[in-house]
Amino acid sequence: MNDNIIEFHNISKSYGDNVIIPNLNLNIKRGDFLTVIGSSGCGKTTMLKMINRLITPDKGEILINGKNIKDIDVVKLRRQIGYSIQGNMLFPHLTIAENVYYVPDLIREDEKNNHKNKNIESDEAYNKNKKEKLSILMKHVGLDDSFLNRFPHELSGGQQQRVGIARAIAAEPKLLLMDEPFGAIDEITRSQLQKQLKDIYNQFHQTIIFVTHDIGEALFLGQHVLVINHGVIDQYGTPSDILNNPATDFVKKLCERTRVLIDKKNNKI
Amino acid sequence: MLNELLTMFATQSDFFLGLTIEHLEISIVSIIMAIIIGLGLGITVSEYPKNKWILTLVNIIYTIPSIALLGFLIPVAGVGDTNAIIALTVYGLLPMVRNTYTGIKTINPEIIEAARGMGSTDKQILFKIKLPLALPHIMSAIRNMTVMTIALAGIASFIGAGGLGVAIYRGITTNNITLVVAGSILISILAIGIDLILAGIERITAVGHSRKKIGNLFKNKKVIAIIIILIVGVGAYEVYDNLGHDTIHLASKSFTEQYIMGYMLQELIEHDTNYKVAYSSGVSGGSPTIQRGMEKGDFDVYSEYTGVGWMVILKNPGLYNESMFDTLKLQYKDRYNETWLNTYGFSNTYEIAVPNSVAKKYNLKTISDLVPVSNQLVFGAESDYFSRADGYDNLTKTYGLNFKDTMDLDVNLKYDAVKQGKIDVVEVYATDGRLYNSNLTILKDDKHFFPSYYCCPVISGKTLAKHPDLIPVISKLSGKISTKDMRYMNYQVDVEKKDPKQVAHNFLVSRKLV
Repeated sequence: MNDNIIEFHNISKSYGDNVIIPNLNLNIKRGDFLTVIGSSGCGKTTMLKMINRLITPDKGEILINGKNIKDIDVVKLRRQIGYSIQGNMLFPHLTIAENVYYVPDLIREDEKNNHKNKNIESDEAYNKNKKEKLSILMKHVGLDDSFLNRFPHELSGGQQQRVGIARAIAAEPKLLLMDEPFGAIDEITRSQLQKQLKDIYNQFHQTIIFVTHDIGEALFLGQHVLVINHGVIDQYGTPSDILNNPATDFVKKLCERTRVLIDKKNNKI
Repeated sequence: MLNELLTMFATQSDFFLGLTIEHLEISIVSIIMAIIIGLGLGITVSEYPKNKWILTLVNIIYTIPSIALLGFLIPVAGVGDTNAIIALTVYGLLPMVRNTYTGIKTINPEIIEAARGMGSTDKQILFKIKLPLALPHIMSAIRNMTVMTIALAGIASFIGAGGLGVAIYRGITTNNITLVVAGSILISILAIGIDLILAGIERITAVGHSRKKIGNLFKNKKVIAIIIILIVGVGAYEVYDNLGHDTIHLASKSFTEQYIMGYMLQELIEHDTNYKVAYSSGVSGGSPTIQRGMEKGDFDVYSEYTGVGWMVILKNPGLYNESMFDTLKLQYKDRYNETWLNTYGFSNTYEIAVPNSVAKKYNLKTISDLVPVSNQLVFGAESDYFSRADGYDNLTKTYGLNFKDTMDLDVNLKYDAVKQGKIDVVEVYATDGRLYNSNLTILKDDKHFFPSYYCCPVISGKTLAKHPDLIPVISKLSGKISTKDMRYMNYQVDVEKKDPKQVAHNFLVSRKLV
């Protein structure tokens, strides 16, 4: 089997005269933690949403595990991809437990509807399993079980974001799409969450595509970093590649501040 | 006022209880239908933008005056509850559709995209995300619409449906303010009471607040059992109530003597037969509406006036007199398969009256006697009398009258104007209760100018075929009620504020008919 979990072939997308992505070709390795960085409006979110078909490209094709995503049932495709986005996009009318287990519950519901006569897990077993798994998921994101019966509005922004991550990994997806999930929280909470996400990745080694506009975050989290400028790939490499051999002025500028910080730390200045 | 009100509630508690239950039945059925259809349309409009015309359509329908809408529906839905329920449902749609639409459209689109991105189907997004989040909007629409529907159901009586509008309308048409107030107060109490209940439900369903409680309520088998028992119980009672009794549907127009005649027929039929009588009292729109109801089978019996039948229903040219009764009967039979029985005995024709003092002064006995003195006298009547075929112009032409002046007056002000000497000659209805013990002399219509308006029972042919025994029962009243009798009965209701049902009963007792 192909080593690439995702392949972009000649993808382009524009809104009217506004070209977001002129022509994108990209392979993402299975098990990679790829951070995507660029200034706002550069097409990084568009790229992400094309993978779970929230946005349709004008031209080109995207393969997942070698299969064109157009040929996969859209609902099935999305359910095997974890999705986490910026801000508080928890469902306000559902408890934390219902939010986290949203996708597994959907899958369960469909199984029940589609296989009425087949043997499926009993409600009892499912609920017991659900309780255990919720507890584990909460531990992964550093939250106490007592949160499970609360509603989102009773939680702080950082806590909500943790729930958002737990929700994204609840169905154990092999691919996780994250769109600036830590964009709107304070520095200290953010670094905690970054560490927790890294722990999760180190434990499960799912493929993560993580969009951010914070170069520090991109360099810290990513095994590979993709720098996008106006829909064009400026550089695609390891964090040290990016730092040490910036391919373009844009990348250089992007890394400047970080390099200064590193130099400061090493007492070079 | 308060005393009168309390006495009225105490003495006519059955009447008000019956109306209140009818009012609730009509309102609740309409509310439930409006919720179901309105939600469906609201969802359709918000899910498929090309259906937005539905929103415009319900908006337009909402602006049709309620009376007009009821009128439009008569040819389709007939008269009675069905028509009222359709009209109320249609009115309830706009708030439901609009709020469902707004509720769904104001949800943060990113929340919906998050749900979609996680692999929810459209149906799952609708039921798991959109509708629960739109619920506060929808609940407030339900509350608004419920209060509106209960209030609006007050006009249902205009087309022969029951409800508290019957009390209000009768209060208006019999000049009984207490009755109007009583009906209005009960409607307000109903509306406020149900609104309070809904406010409680709204609090429970608010987003993120003990939402589970209400869910658990419906998971509780006992609660479900109680609800089912209630529904089945009410249904069974309704069926039992109608079983074994054939129901005769009786209608009356909306003025005092019609109310009285309706109650008289009801009591007589229920006394002499096993039939159950459903009485739609005070159907507005008068003869044409009731006639349509008779044709559609909504009504079986009502009391009509010969002159009205001739001119308004049969639309025959010329003025009617009683020598044409056989022709009238024949035409009704041919055209509508309806049977006229012989008159009760009273005629509600127009008459010309003058104060006793004026009659004495000029020695007036007939309308012709007015001719030499009319140029010294002022004539008063309702404004429509001046434009009728049997009205002022032809009256003066026929008799050669030439009044000094004329005055347009509201029917209720006529008698005061005579008393105050503002008018000398007045046009009156023969059975008007206010004529009783008034100081007015009625002048004989010696040239037979006024058409005849004898009051007769009219029965639909289908009903007669099924229940021929109604003829001898109803015929017991023929020739029994003189114009004077009717005038006195009207007087008891209009002036003494007695209950028309009671007045009818007293009359039947006095004639030993019950």
